[in-house]
Amino acid sequence: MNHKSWHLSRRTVLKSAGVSLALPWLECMAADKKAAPKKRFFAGYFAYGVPMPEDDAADRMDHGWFPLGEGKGYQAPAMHASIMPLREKVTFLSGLSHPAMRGTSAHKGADYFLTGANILKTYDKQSISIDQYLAKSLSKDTRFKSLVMSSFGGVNRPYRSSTLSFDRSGRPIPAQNNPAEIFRRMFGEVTDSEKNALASRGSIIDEVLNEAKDLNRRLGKTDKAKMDEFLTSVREVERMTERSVQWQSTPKPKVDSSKLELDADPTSPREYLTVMYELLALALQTDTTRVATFQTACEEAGLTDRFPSAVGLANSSHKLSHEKKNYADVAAYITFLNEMHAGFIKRLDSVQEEDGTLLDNTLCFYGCATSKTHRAINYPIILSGGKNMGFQHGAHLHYGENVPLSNLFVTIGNQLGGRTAKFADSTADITEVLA
Amino acid sequence: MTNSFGTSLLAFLVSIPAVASAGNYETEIRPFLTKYCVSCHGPNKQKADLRLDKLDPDLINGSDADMWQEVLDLINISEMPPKEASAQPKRSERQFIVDALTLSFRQAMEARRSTGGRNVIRRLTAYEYNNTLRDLLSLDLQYAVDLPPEGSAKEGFKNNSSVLGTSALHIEYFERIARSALERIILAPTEQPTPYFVRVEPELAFKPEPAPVTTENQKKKQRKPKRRPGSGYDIKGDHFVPDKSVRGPLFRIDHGERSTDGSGVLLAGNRPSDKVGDPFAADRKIGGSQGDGRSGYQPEFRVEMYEVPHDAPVLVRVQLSAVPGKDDAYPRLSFELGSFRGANVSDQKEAANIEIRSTEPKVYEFVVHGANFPFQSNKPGRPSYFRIFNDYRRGTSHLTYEELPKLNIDWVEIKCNHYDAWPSPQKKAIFFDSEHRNDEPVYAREVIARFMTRAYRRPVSDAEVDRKTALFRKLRTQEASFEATIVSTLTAVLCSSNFLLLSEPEATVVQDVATERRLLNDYELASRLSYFLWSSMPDETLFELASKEQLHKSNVLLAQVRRMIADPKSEGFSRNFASQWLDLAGIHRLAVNPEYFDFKEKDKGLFEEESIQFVHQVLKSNLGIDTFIDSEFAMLNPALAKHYRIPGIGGGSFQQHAISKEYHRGGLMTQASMLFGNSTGSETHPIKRGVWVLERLLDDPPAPPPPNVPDLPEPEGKDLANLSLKERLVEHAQVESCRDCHAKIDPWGVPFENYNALGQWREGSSDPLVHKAHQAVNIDPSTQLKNGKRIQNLDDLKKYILTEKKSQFRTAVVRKVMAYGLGRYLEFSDRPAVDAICETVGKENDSFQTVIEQIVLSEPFLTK
Repeated sequence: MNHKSWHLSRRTVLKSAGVSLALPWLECMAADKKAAPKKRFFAGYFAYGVPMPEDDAADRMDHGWFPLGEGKGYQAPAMHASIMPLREKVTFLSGLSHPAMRGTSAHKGADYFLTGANILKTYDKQSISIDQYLAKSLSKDTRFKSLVMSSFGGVNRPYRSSTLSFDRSGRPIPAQNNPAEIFRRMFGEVTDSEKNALASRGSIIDEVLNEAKDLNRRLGKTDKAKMDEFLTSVREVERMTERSVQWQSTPKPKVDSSKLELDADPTSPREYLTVMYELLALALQTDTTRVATFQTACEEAGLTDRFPSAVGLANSSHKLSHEKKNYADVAAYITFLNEMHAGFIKRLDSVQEEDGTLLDNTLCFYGCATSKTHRAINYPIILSGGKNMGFQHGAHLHYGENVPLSNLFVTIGNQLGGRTAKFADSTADITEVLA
Repeated sequence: MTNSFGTSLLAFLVSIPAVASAGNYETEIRPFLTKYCVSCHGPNKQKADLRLDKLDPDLINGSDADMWQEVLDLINISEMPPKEASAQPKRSERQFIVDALTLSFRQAMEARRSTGGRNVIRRLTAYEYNNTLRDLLSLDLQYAVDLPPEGSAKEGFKNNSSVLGTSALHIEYFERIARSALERIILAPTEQPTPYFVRVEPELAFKPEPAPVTTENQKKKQRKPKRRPGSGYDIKGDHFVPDKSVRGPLFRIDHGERSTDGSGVLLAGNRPSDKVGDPFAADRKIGGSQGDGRSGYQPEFRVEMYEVPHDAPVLVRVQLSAVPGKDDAYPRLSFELGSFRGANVSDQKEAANIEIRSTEPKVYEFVVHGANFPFQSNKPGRPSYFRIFNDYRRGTSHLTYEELPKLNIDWVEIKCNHYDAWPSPQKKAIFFDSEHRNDEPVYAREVIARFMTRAYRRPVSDAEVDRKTALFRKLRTQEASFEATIVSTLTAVLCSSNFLLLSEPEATVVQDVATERRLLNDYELASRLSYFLWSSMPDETLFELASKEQLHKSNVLLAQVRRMIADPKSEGFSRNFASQWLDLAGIHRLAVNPEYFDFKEKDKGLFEEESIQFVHQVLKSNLGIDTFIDSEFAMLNPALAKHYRIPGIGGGSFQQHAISKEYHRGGLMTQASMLFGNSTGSETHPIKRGVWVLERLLDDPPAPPPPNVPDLPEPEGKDLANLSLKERLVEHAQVESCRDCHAKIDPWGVPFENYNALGQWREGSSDPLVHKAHQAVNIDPSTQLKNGKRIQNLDDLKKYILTEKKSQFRTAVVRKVMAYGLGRYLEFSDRPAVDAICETVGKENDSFQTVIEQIVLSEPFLTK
């Protein structure tokens, strides 16, 4: 029980340039891995679609999301002003969607945004998400295989996922939502206790795995199916431990946390999204991981539904998305989300690497699985960066309703991962985004 | 027994559904398709590339489930057949096909997730994991805070095996948490840490000693504390600070009154909100300057400590007596630990809150762990503090300052780094006395075996201990010490599938087949019982009964259930079951619209606590489940009484209060948790409230809305924009495709119209408790159920449930408790058991305890 409820005063928001890094480490890493160019992938998701005034409406350019006109000569609506300085590194995509899920009611988008799975047909059985597909090859040389984040955290439940990432068996990977914990895992000082722990962890996990296999032998069929999940996870930790041991002699990158607002939570959306995006940038910049996903909000009632309070709006983001006429409020809110995303993209572009900027070495895929009020078609998508992986930008590309989004995943797979002939329900690839 | 299983299993197999199964497709669905659809989507034409006569009607094994879903959706929202088609189905035909397809889908989903009516191995939930470590290590810390947030199954239960995933991230955290807890206990320093000790004699604040006074006025003046807040008193008396270079502790007091004999201080129980006069007046933070509590100033008694050992047990001793107030009002002792984070910024948490009745001075002792409190400042240089209150609140009781009960505090002692014995009892429990203590390999084995037995909640085999001693030997060469090696070995025990998972394996190796149903052994039963009623591991009594193979006997089981309910740990059941059954999390998903209400976010906690305490009261007092529908009492504290506008409620924590009819409270449905959680945060929401009643109390969830239909029609054009929510509901129900479903839902929500979005009573044409602009309402709680039954108001609805819906309600409660107790969805094969339990419960006056007892004695609970 609180006797006095003083709110903790929020410290000044992080400067856009980000926090300082101890560079010597980075240089030594660069020298180390000179041969292999780094390829990185980020996928972001926002909830509940975008405002879509008619093309001839007076507020089309003030409140609309989709660009007007196709190709290089497109006009960007006002809400994208924040990312326009990077026009040549950004592509807008319209028309794409996951065909199998077009007919469904909304709110499920995060479940299949990156998997393309037909979860209606399979009830809630999922398949691998594109980020995890890429992580297999991209993150061989990094401390973490991937960084999975969402503002809700965990996995929530099927049809209201709070994670974008699904493993090879289609199991949801819990997302982290606590900035302080994310920071500790990636950059926290390694204590003596942790050093000791790492020395014994291999043997401990080995024993846990063997014992679990023993238990598994004495289980019936239904139990075995569930137990399989435990075994897979322990094996995964086994691999993580091996990875940590390899990394043991390399000190963690030194990141100064004093400028990060690590105690921010979703009740203060601007501060929270700022620190979460900054953690993503730091993870990629320090080469802690090369694959990251961030679901900025869950399509379910909860704290993240109050994000519009960041721009002084009392309505929930869900309620805003149902607006069909006066788009000013929802546009103001989406503008805010766009600014947060653009800040991240600019942040990546501000970091110089040997062969270009961090953005040139990171393909960023950002969007939502609904467009106008809960319609699961014509996903609003921004693709940026990845120049060094063959991507070319500067245009608005429009596709017909029959083109699966998975076709883009095939292209992404081919450019970043290994040879990818097919992903989920793909029918071809999408070459227009390539140089 | 085998026989009855055989029968129910057979019944289950026969019931496996599909569109195609038996007559449903041929008799109900195909005729509709042939009549209205196949001319465009059949052999001759395939509009939209769709041919319905060739769709595979098997929803489970077939490959067309998604197409069927689309067919259902389009028929449901009347988009198909198209308006221009000559053959149009009648409304009843359309409804019939929609119902038939919806049912098929629901059954297919159930078949898909079916476990054959058997319990499946499951992970401990985060809260179970926390409680289990607490009981296993005898150390009450917040272990589970960093685990990923957990979802819940469709019915709301978090302990359902199907939603309890174990990811690599989980394993990573399980290892980290276990190691840190074990290191804390086992690797504690050899030397007992030096305590930090403060003793406060509060009269020191009133020096100089008062000269003899004569007039009443002088007496009054003399009893005021001399100094204002912000200034401290260096503790001159008894204290011990380990590091002499650190600033000593400070004692601060404000608005306390010197006790008449001068030996202590009187703290009046009064809160900023407790103004005399209008009991429902708005909160006021600070009153006048009188400093006697009359004005609503909180008396302050605080000890500030610098660089205190914050991550250790704290002993608090207080000598005090009660000065009772008018009408048998007694003071409440409350204290909290906190720290300053900035100039006027602090963080704190209450550590104790008890009523004091003794008018003779007595010593009260408390031990809490500093790690569970924000006891360490995150700003260097800011002090930690201890603060003591009289938590009696005037509430809505009209007591004047003189009539308020007071605490007479003689002295207070605070001892941080408090250990009764060293090494700690927790460490001694792991490293127990043994004749082999000096024989390391033998002793290690003993230590490991004893710990494993409790962690695995059953006896462990030699082979199981062998594996762990082998691990110990392997690690011993690389670890720094014997104790450090034990930490690592026991960490492996706490990451084991035998600890983290509730499993009921067979005695021998099983091939990849379904196993035969069997009775649980006594240890498995002990775990089911304790996770059901305590959300934690079994205690020594249960283990002992299991070891004697007594537990499964009905009379023993019943006695244990009663003992466990009487144990304070049964709050684990009330808290977790109530939260999940009633969806109390809904309170926190919703924000109160400041345009409608002045509302403090933290008061949401009151809503949640009321419902938990209510369920707990029904359990503890062995009341009937009809109490959930209506009761002549409410669980209230002064703040909630104020929210509900119920006068005469003072005191402290939640207590049972008899409530007269005029306040319109009784049962779960009049509680703010449900009424607010199913509002919009501004206005009432009859649909949500209706769905809640159907889902939670009657276990009759309505079909989900079809896709692309918004919650309510969007106001389009001027006419609709100004409609109230209820009027828009009516509009909504005008839409043909919506009408039939809503006729089933809305009447269950309309009778709640007398309760505003915050669950406060209102009637007539104005709601004075919302802001002026929104006060005009037109309240009409009368409605008609789909079966024609007329309902005037909520009282009427309660009566209807308790008479005509009584058996459905009873079955619903039994099914909810049973799903929670088993940690899985109930299935068709559980029906005989549910029916039998309901029959017994009905005969036993519908007692809630009987529900629990009968579930424990039922076949599904006793078998694997």
